[in-house]
Amino acid sequence: MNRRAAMGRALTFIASAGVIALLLAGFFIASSMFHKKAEFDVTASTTGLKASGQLRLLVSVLADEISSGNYARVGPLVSAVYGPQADFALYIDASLVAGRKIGIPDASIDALLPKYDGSIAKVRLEVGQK
Amino acid sequence: MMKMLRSKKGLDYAAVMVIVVVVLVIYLFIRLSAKLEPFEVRIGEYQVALLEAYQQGENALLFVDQAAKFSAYKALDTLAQRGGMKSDDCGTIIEKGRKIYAWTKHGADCTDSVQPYDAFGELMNGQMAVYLAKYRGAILPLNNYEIFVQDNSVTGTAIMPAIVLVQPPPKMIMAKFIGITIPWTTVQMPMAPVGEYDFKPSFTVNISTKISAYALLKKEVRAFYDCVNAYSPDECAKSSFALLTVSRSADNPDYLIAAANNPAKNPYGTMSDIVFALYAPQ
Repeated sequence: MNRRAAMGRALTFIASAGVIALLLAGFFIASSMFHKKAEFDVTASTTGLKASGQLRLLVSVLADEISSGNYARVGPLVSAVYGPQADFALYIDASLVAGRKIGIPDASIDALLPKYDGSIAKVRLEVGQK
Repeated sequence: MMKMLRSKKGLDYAAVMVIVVVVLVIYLFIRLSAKLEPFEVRIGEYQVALLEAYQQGENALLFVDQAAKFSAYKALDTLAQRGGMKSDDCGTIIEKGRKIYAWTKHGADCTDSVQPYDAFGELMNGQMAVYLAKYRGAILPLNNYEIFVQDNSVTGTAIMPAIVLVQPPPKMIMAKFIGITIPWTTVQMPMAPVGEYDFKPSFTVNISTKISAYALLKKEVRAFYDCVNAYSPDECAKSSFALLTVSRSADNPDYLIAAANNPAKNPYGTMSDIVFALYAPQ
């Protein structure tokens, strides 16, 4: 038998097996990369719902003042309900009208309130910690 | 034998094997991608959507309460301008560019048409409709209230329910090519509503309406016409009225213009005096 030919066939075989192994490895890596992982995510919690209820009560109590543009009582009421460390931001039609911007609020509520002149205001109240 | 060993025909086998493996692997990848769909529905998604629908219902009720308060004051103002009348059975006159409803006209007494409670209910529904039509987030029926008025409160009982759709959050999906999911191509697919949450948007607002004042004004007007049977209207006008201020109309001399202070007050704007016209030719 020609030794060089035999060596050549053996090397060719090994190279082919190596290429096949690389292809299979690449296949499994691609499978894991492109398959979306299942997500388990419950987006609301009972704590969040209770906080929204409290905020809605706040907005209800202050509805007249908010509708007429008087926001003086918002801060004191927020402190009375959530404590002195509470911070708040009140937006009317996406403009900050009272309080200051909060990065990630602990609780927030979006509501529509009517005004006496017949228009509607979009109200957003956010509460967080100082 | 040596010729066989030197032959390169068998070497094609390895190359063909590689090509076959590549094709098979690609095919296997496509089939596996199509088969192994990830679990795309978040646990509790529908239940959370139902809870959020309830929250939206509460937001709608907050809106209705505030709209009812404003509508009540606007209705009281309009009622006063109409002299408490439900309809213009005795017509209207124009006095200094202003339309005034007549309680009486030649040959007719329309004081029975002075139904302030019914008139207020119609006006209140009309004012509420202006606000409710603009609300987003719930379907609030218009002209939907039976209005019950007392001196210190107004209750609106809803006839038809309001509706909030139970809407799961939009699904985030990735585009696919031959069954292979392509990353960085996430699109938002809105979901169809899975149900409805119905509730009755009734309300009660505590405001001082003092609609009972119209009954006292009707008494004074009846006493005036009893007097007119024996004396002249202008003489009777001086003595018959305690609550009403009466003056002869400049534009319609056969009519007297009667005005009374509106006992209801409006904290948000103006409240017109109660004004109406009385047919009393000199």
